[in-house]
Order: sequence, then C-alpha cells, then structure tokens
Amino acid sequence: MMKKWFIQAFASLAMLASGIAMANEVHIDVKAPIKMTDKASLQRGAKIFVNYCLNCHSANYMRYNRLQDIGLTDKQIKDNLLFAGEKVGETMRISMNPKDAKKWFGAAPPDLSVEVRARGADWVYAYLRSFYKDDTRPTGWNNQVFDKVAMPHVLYELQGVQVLDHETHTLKLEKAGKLNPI
Amino acid sequence: MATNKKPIAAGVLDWVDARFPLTSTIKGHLTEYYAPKNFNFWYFFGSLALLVLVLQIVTGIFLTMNYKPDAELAFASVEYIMRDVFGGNIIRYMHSTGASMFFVVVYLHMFRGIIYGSYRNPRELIWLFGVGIFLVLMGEAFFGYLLPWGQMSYWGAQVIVNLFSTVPFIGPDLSEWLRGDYLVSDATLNRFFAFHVIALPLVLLGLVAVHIVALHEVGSNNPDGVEIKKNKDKETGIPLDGIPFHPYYSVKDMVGVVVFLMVFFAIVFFMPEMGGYFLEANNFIPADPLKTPPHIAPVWYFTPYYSILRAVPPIGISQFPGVVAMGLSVVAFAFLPWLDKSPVKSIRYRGKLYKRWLAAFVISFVILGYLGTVPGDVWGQFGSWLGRADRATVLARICAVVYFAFFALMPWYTKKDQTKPVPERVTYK
Repeated sequence: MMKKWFIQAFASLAMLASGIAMANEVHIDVKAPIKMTDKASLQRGAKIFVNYCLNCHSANYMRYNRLQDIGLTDKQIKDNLLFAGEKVGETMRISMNPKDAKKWFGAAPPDLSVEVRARGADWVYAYLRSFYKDDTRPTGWNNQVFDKVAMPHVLYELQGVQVLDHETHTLKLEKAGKLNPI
Repeated sequence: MATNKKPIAAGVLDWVDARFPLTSTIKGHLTEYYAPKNFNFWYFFGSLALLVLVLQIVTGIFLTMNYKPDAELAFASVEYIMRDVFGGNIIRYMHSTGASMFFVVVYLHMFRGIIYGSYRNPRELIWLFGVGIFLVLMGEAFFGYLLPWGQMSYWGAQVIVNLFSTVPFIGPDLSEWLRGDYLVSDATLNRFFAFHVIALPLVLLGLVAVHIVALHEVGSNNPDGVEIKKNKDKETGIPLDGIPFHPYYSVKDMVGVVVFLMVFFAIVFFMPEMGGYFLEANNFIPADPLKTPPHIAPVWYFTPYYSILRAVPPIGISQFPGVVAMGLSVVAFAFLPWLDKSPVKSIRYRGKLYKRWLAAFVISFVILGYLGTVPGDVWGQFGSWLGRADRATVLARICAVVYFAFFALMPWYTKKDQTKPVPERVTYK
C-alpha cells in the first residue's frame, strides 16, 4: 500500500512538472532526438558547434577539456576542435566584438553556454531546422520558430534551402543540402 | 590514597558546569525535556526545518566563497561554481533545492500548527515568533533570488520592489531608496547580497532560538491538544504523558531526516530544476534591463500571495489595494491565536463546520498557488464553466475571498462549531 502511495505521489509530481512547459510563446511539437549514450552523435554535435556556431556565438562558461565527458581525449580535442591556438583548458571564447556584432546583425549573438537550459533542447532543435528563404529580410532568411531572427541560416549547406508555403504554413525543401537530399 | 578516583571526562564536565550551564541546558532541552508521547507524522517538520536551515547556511558559506556580487560578474560566477568549482554544482543545487524545500517543510509545519491548534494559549508567542521566521524566510528567499542575476531574478526583483512604489505619496521615493538606483542595478545586487548572506540570516537564527526557547518553556502541544502538564506524576513531577525528547524523539526525528534526505537528494541529483518550479528556465538568460520577459512569475512558494495581488482590482490607477491585500494575506497568520474561539484545540475534536472551512482554505491556497505560476491568459480547461475569458481572474477572486474569510469569519464559525469532548489524557495507540 505504501508503495502504491509513493508511485502515485511521484506520478503526480511528474505531471505537475510537465504542466510548466507551456509557457513558451511558440508551440514546439518536435522532440530533439538526443541520446546521451550515443557518443558518436554527441561528438558530431561538438564538431558542428565548433565549426558553425563558435565564430559568432561564444560558450564562455564551457571549457574545451570538458568535452572529455563525451569521450574525447585532450589530444583529439586539440587536433580536431581547436583552430586558433587555444589551449584545451580554456573556455570557448570568440574574438568577435559584441559592439561590432550589434552593428552587423542588429543584435549581439548571445552566449550559448546555458541556452539549452533556458530554451530547452526541443526548441533549439526545431529552431535550427526552421529557417526558410525570405528575400524581405536583410540576411535573406527568416525562421518559423523565431520570427524575424537576426541570425542567417548558418547550416544551410547541410540542410539545403527551404521555402515557406504560405497557405499550409509548412516548409518545403527547394535545394538539397549535404545532409539532406531531396 | 584512592579516594579521588573520578574519571577525567567527568572532571572536565564539572569544571565546565561550574562556569557554563552545559549539563543543565542539555537536560532542560533534550534529556529531561518532556514531550507528549503521541507525536505523529506531522511533528517531523520542525526538526526538518532546522535541518534545512543548517544545510542552507553551510552550502551558503561555500557558495559565498566563489560567488561575486557584481552585476558584471554575478551570472558568470554562478556558472563558474556550476562548472569549475569542485563539487560546486552539488552545493549550488543543494542551496536552490534547499530554498524550495525550506518552504515545503515550513508550510507543512505551519499546517500542523493550524490543525492541532498549536498557536492557542499558552503558545501564542511561539506562533508569533514562527510568523516572524516565515516573514524573514520570505525576505531571505526574495533577496537570494536576485543573486544569480538571470532574467527572472532581475524582473522578479523589479516587480517586487515596484510594489512599494504603489504606496500613496511616498511610494516612488520609497522604491528608489530600496533599490539604491532608478532601476534594479549593481547597487541593488550589492545590498541584496548583504541582506541575504548576513542581515537576514542573523535575524533568522535569533528568531529560531527564541522560537525554541519559548516552546521549551511552555512545552509542546500534541495531536490531541491536551496539556500534558496538567497530569503530572505526584512524586517526580514529570508529566504522565511525557517522554524525554532525547532519546525518544531524537531517534524518531532521525527517521524523518533519512526519508527527507532521500527525497532531497533525489531532487538535487536528478531533477534540480523540478520542471521549472525550483529553478526557472528564464533564469538561465543573463539579466537584461532592456528586455522584459513576456511572463514574470515568482517561484512557487510566493504564488498564492502573488495571485491575491493580481486578483484584487485597482482603485482608479492605484494598485495599492492589491499590495495591501497581499501583505495582509501573509500577516493574517499572526492573528490566528486571537481569532480562534473554539473551546478545543485539535482538529480531532472539532466539528464539521471548522473542517469545511479549513478544507476550503487549503483548496483556495493551492488554487491560488497554481494560478500564480501561469500567465493570466494561459489557463486551461479548469473553470471553463465560468464561460468567460478572464476566468482565471474570477477564480482567483473567489479563492482570495475564501482565503480571507477563513481568517475573518473564524471567531464566528469556531464558536458556532459542534465540538466533541476532549479526553483527560492524550490518546495513544
């Protein structure tokens, strides 16, 4: 009997917790396919982050050598992920001046150290896949999850080019990308 | 000569006792403090509150070693604690979880006091000290919440300090004086840090001390609401229904501590954010005075009062009535000893009328608490029978009226209530 009571208590706690998620402005109905045990996938993510994101976005609180947590050795980190003579013990900083960035993009790209904790992994996953071509925007890109976002579609060579079908409000792939054949 | 064969330890004890009331204090508060033998589950939460207080102070000391109370550095220093300080993430999560668990434990402790009439004569002063502890704890939680310098820290503080600007005539000056600036800023962070780490903890410790001293002076209440000091052993003068706190209740409380720590560390290790209730997602975005978040909600333990604030309509353009109602909703607890006119203390011997009022109060409190966590317009199917768009506000108003009626009508319904006869001695199965 006691056991049943505990299970019910925990189940209701979990239900309470899930009720919170709705405060987001845009409804996200995709789930980020994250598997914490899939080291290869996590390492691919680190590679993409360092190659595509870490030029404009810093991760000032993240040290390179913490990537040991996803199964990389210091040597592997040094050989594959450090491009500007940093040391493995340093944090993921960028050299772009926030003031310049504000002039160029209209908003300084935020630090991404705790972005997933603020937005949720599902939001980030949906956001990165929701860019579409929009000639009315200064960058030529717009985003379904984050309307009129300042950031251009950085991953377009991987995803290809999407266009928005204004009637169905869905995105269609117009030009194939490296990871996304039509 | 072998006449002076006293153990060294006993000699030391004698030496101390001649200079400090050590043995008598231990006797008076532990080994010869007689507590009623019929304590139940509800009596865990006092000692647990003390445990959480110690946890908060110890983890707080270690956090202070690495935290930087500077608007430029605060957010980064918290992440530094989380990532680079040895064990820092555990210490930080223990402190943030401890804040919420403090309120869980204190709310349950207060509820125990209400259902068993522990605030009644002769324990009014214990209750008043307790309300003082509750108020200081709220201040402590509020000041501490600004320190991580996230968006919710910043805008939460902005909202709360702005409450003071609704005070007629002196309001704007008052809130400016509290902030030390025209908006929440580095100056505010510095003074909130000072309040959080030294001023309020000192007051809190003092209040806890007098709370316990007052309790041990008059003796503990019990689930039957019977005074055990009325039935003393004629020879020893020890209450017949009393057992020494140590070892009987120190051992019992240890069971509570073990179960509590299991729950506590399950949260610390596996769900420190508690789905956004203990750590709000928005607070992982650094404070930005130029960007107001679309939805500002306090942490769950403040939401019942926050709902009352939102529910009370303004007079003209002044929000002051809501602020007064919110203040009253917290302070109302202090008047309980004088509002309760029932001839019995414990809920066990009260009638249906009181139980219904208490149930209505608890339900209103929970609904108000839930309403405070969600924006006024995001309010699901619940209450759709009201058939209007602002049903959250309507429901909050109904609950607020019930909340205050519980206190305001208490003299009437506790007098009118059909009580049952109270036994001479405590009941114990």
